[in-house]
Amino acid sequence: MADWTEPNSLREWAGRAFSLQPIAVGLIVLALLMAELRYDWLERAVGAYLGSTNSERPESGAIWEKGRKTQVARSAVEKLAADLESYQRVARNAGSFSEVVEALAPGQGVMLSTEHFREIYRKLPAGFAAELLSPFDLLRLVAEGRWSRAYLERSADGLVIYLLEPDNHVLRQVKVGAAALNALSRGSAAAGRSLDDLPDFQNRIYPAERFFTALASLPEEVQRGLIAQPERLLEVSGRISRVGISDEAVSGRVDVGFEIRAGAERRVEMVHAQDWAVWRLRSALEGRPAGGGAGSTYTIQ
Amino acid sequence: MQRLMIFFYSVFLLLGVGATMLVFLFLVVIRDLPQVPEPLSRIIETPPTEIFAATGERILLIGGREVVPLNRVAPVFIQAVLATEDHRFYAHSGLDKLRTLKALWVTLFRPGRVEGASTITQQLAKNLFFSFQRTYTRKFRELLVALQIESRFTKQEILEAYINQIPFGVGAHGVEQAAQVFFGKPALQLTLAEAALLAGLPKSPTRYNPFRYFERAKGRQKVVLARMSAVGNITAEEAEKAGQAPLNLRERSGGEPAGSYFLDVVLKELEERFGTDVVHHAGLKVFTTLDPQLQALGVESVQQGLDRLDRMLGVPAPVGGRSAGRLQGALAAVEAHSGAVRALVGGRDYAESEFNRAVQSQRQPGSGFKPFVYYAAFEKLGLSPASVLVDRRVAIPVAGQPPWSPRNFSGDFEGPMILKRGLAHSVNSIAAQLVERTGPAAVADVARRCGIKSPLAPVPSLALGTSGVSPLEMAAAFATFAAGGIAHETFFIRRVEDFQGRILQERLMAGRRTLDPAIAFQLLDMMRAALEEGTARVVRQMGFSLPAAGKTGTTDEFNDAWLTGFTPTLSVAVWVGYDRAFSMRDTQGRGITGGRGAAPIWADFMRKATAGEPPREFPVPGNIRFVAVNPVTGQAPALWGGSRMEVALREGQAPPALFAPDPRESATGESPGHGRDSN
Repeated sequence: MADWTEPNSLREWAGRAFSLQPIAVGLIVLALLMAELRYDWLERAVGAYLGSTNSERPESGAIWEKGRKTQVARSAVEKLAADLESYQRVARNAGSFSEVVEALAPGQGVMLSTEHFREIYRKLPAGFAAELLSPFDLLRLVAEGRWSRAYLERSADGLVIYLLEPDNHVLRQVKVGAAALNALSRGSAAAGRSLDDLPDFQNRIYPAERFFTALASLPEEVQRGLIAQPERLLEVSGRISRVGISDEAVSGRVDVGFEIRAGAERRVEMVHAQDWAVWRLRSALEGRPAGGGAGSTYTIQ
Repeated sequence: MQRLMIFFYSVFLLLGVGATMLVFLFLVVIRDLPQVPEPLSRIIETPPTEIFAATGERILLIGGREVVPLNRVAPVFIQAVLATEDHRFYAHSGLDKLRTLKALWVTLFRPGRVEGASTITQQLAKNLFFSFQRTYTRKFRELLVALQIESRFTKQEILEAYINQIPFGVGAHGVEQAAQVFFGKPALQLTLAEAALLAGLPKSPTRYNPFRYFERAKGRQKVVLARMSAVGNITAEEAEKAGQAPLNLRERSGGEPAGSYFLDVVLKELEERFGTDVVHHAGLKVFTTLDPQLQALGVESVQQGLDRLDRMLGVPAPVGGRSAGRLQGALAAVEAHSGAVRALVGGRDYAESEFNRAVQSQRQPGSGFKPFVYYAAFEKLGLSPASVLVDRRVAIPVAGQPPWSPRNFSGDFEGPMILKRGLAHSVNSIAAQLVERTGPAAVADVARRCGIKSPLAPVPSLALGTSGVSPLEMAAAFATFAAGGIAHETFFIRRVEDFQGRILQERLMAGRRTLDPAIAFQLLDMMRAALEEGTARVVRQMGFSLPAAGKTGTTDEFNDAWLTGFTPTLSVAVWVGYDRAFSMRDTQGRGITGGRGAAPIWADFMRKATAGEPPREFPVPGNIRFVAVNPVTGQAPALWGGSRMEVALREGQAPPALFAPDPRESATGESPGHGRDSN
């Protein structure tokens, strides 16, 4: 290959410029340009190349950012909805008022159907239920046909029950204090245990025979004040071996625990008795004359 | 010769360097070029957060898009977009080289002119991936992404993606949403004139907003029609005809979404509860309390009322849409028995000022605060509407300050009168005497129980409303009287669901009894008198005839004018004034009171809002009885002749004695009246 030398004249320069090789190169370049104008081969080639490396490039830019935000936002909502659903599921499947309350943390609430609410209301101790909401009131609400749902909301100091119309207007709002909730949950916790495990019953545990003898000596009105729904005790399987009376009174009611033995198993059924009736019962049990409240050791909350 | 060769070699060298730099730039740029999502429809998959009115009508769509396939869009719109934005769209592969060269030529050789040449694909790439910063690197990256999009997707897919995401202004993204926002119809039904108008907007959605700059938008529409004619989509006659065709823009105030002030509150509440990203990207469904019809009536009444006041004040019409110093107004309408906010007007025009005066402002309510004073007096002192006080000059000692000596609006003192008359006629000296006896703390307590949340200064002048409150607070507080003493928290959102319909938040409408029902009714009855014969009687003169009660308020120097009133179902507060402390006086120098400024707006709104409703009376508590008394003596009126006023007395409040002496003869500050023995 000859060494390249700089052309010395315009003639030589032109001669070289218009020789076969440059013309061929020029034509090729021109053809490429024409083809580009006609067929966009450069754009297509670049596009195809970028398409082939697409998956290796970062997911950046406004649309990806938006996608990420959507994903994060959806996850947040998913978690919120899942949390809500999880405790609501527990609450909805609850068979008793205590189970509903236990499923809720402060600030949480659950919507129940009227049927479910009535079901757990029916299972409440009679005294507690009446105190919570008069059964006649409930009957009236059912008859009126405006009551569609119940919302139970746990607060820091108890529970609020809202009985709602279809458009969420509150028909009744009932507040249940912490003390009453404790009493209720204690009643529920007592199941499956012995009276010996319940500290506030330790001072007054009586053999069943002594208890029922004392009970039988009382007028029927007092008996009803002690055990409003005796049929509940009749329904339990096993034998009542001992009866305990709580030291504490809540809203005029005192827990009376019936320890039931069935084989080797023991459990306690709780009844919320009227405090005046318990006072009469204690007098009968301890052989003291019934009368005023002197000597009562109940803690009134 | 040598110079020619130097030139020749320089050109070669430059071309070589240029090509090398281009390749180098290409290699550098593609490293962090964004990945293009596949399929392209993914760009429009984000579920929108939808906000609904109480009627079920959707009032706002956040994020997301109203996606329509090309066959659900009027062909004239596609033609208009292509003719205007990229008429060689089907001929190029992402870059329109001829147009680019022309634009380059104009930009380089015609000083002061810059011509764009972005194809639709380039615009799509820019909208999807890049900021709007104008740099050559960004343009190059945008071009490369456009080339990739062109190589990977069909023209139909690109066009569909483009028309479903371009911004048209006033919150409308995509052609379907734009067609709904501007013309209230689907994109498929757009006419040539409408399509041309819409196709012209993406160039500058704010500048060509037809709601605000109709003529400018019409001019742009004609440019689009001319382009369509030039590229052969339509004939010149068709373009001419379409340019002259009337455009039926959807009724909108300023082009903002309906109830924008209301929506601002809703969005703020949602963002506080769920976080901004969740609200904008998670596809929530939000069901609000807004009544679109009441909202529209509220906007109309406030705007018309303020226009009327402008004329009274001799204010010149605004120039060029500037709002600085314009008279403003606010309206809040609250459902009395739930606290649901049904309408909220936070100012004259949302497009001019987004400051929400219905919620965020704290303006002195003036005499609008007196019902709380009277309630406190009835509750604490056992007074009744028939109790008599003497309207006289009073000087109430204030610790560390000169005695407070309020004047009456009329400047005169009328002597003895019953409290019902005192409230109906908004007598300041009577309210001052009452607050002196109850103490300002008792008044503040009543206001709090009714739902006032703004800070209240415990000073005697609180009786005359010297502590600022918002119209929404006032509407909520008066709703407590309408609901027989049961206070409800105001709320805007009934329910929030996630994109799968699971309930995330639900509002219970629980009220709290905070006022005695009988005393609340006594106040209600006294406020009825304010509408029938007192400071707000213009309401009746304007033809609003349904049972209602209310109280006007006017502050010193006529800076604020109020009327807060209610029917058994709806409580509404109206405020008018300037944003800055500025007196409202008409051309004769007379001040604008609540009765002249706010009451006509209130009456206009209520008349339209309750049109066709049957009269519904306020329920009367069982322990209330009505007795006619002499409005001066508070005792039984004369058997014939003389003035009389019916008052509502509670059980235990003594009925008026017959033929009592005229207390005007008494020199003491108080004459015998009902409830006095309870003091």
